[in-house]
Amino acid sequence: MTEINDKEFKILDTLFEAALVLGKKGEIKYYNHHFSVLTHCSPRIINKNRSAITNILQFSNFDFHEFFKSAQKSNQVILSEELKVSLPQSNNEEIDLVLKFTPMQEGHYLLTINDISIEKKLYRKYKDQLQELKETHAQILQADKLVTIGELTANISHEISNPLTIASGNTELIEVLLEDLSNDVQDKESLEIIQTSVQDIKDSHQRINDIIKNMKTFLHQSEDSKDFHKLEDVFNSAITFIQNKLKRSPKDINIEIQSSAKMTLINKLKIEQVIINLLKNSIDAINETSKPGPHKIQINISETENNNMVYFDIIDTGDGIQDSEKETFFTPFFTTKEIGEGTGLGLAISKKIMLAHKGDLYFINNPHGAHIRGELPNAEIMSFTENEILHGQAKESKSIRVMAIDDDPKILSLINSQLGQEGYVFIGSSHPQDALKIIQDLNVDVLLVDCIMPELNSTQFTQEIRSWNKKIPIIYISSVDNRRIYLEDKYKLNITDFLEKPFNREELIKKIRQVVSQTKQEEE
Amino acid sequence: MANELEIKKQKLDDHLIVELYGNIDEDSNFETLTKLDVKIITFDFDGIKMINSCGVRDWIQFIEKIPADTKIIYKKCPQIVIEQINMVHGFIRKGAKIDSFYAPYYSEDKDEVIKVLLKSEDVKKAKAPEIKDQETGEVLEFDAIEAQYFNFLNQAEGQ
Repeated sequence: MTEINDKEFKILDTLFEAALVLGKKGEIKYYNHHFSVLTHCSPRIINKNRSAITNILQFSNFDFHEFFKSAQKSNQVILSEELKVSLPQSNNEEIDLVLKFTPMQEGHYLLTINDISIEKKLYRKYKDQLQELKETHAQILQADKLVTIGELTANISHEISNPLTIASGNTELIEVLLEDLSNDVQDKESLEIIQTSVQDIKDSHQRINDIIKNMKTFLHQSEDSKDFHKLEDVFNSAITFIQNKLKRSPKDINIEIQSSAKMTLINKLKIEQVIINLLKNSIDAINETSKPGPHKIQINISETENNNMVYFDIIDTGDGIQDSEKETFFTPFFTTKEIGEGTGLGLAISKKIMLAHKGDLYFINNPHGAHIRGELPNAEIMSFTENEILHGQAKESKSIRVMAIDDDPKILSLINSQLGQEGYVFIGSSHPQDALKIIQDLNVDVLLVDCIMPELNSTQFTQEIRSWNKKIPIIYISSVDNRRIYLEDKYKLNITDFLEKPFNREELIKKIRQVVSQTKQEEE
Repeated sequence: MANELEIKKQKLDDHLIVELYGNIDEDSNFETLTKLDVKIITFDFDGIKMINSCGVRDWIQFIEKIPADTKIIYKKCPQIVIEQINMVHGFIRKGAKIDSFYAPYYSEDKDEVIKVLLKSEDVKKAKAPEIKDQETGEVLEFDAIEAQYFNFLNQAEGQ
């Protein structure tokens, strides 16, 4: 065996790569300075591990010794694949290497190491940034299209308003004339049909009007007002709207609703629009299918186990959604319909509306037809987050949190709008059990409790709260007939006040201010 | 991003002290250090955790833009910076001074490597100065190859 002499030693030192000379058994005979720098190993460490190179370079999924044996066997220059290596002397930092074995004098091998870590890192970054650029470019193109659509929509809504006004006026005139003629006309049945049709036209005019108003609101990005509603009511309203489409359908389609869910805080018109879009798509899907009937659209309204989210599921008996369409289904301008039959914007806008409500819209796998699920935060979560964002951060001092429990959505909406003007953070709840869970986790400053509620009445509700030793001021709200409940509970359960329905804004604000002031004095 | 380069500047009359923290790599941004109208700039590398070849490239491009009559001083260079200085031409601009740097010393008693801050003038004829452990008095062993490690001093001013 010929040993390495000084001249060769010097030559290897001039290499920019890390280089080693290995003996027959893979032991380190020589290493250059770059090997020391690459591995963060001082000469002391390298010398200690001359017979155990794998203590200096830890390979994952690569058997160095096997590879070295095959290099010896072939006696040719041999390259490894790209390898991931960790450096135990440098906190197991990971680097990417390529190894090259070159046979030297008998029994010796030159191992040069190409560190490709930076090259790989830059390549990955380049790919990621290129992908990001492509996505951003696509978004810009979409946004550009939507801006154009927005401009077109603004023009259309403006142009529609005038003829719509004329049409509405003429419809009312027809209605009046029909009333006048009703006694003279013999064919009462036909008259009734005409009157029903006129009513349908009026409803449609109103609907178009509402949509135009909503479009204008959307385009001008004005405040997105929300109110408390039961989803079942919104669905029923949407189903009424699509009755004509259902009647014109060549197939018999039955719509069933099963609902166990409570209230949500939503922009009713927008969510109704989402539901109408989805129902229309279901009707179209059923009309196109060759599957035999009976056909139906099943609507299930439910909530999650922890009651934080409300779901609605719309399941039809059409052909369902192809796997290839699922990813792009909610993309703007995606449509399976012929030109002129669908713009492809309905679902994209529907998804946007749901996301704006802090919910979502997506597909559920179902072999029997299309199954779309919409999810929305329940009324409590939505009212708290909306109002906390609006009022909670606005003032330097802590905002007052007022929670109302009432099963009438109109009362909750009324209180929401009245308190919102005063900057209170309002949380609305329609079910006492849900309200109790929220009160356990959240600091509430004032409670407004309806005396008569399903599940728990005000007395039972308050007893539960007082059993936790929570001294939250409670105001009962109800009609004058139930004032006696307040009087019975006033001292027993420490009920602060009674607010008689119907009440106006001044009365509500005055009561809350009194309670807050009283609490502050007691704390001081 | 984790360990993104952070630059802190402190100006004392015509002397700008620039403290560098984090990584010098392809993402580093030296824009805040352009158009410096000072006579002396001291770069303090004590906070640098990592430097790669992309960062070195960007550093060289940045340094070359500093007016030729501005005096440049490098101080508290960690071992990873010294290694780059030794490997890449141009990291230390001609005429720049290395004021201080860290060198690795090994304590056999404690079985640990200690980074010792040395002044350039402490190194004579590429020999590591003798360093004793402050607690035990043990003479520490220089834990690198002297000829290689101190090679950079030949590039610097006055060597």
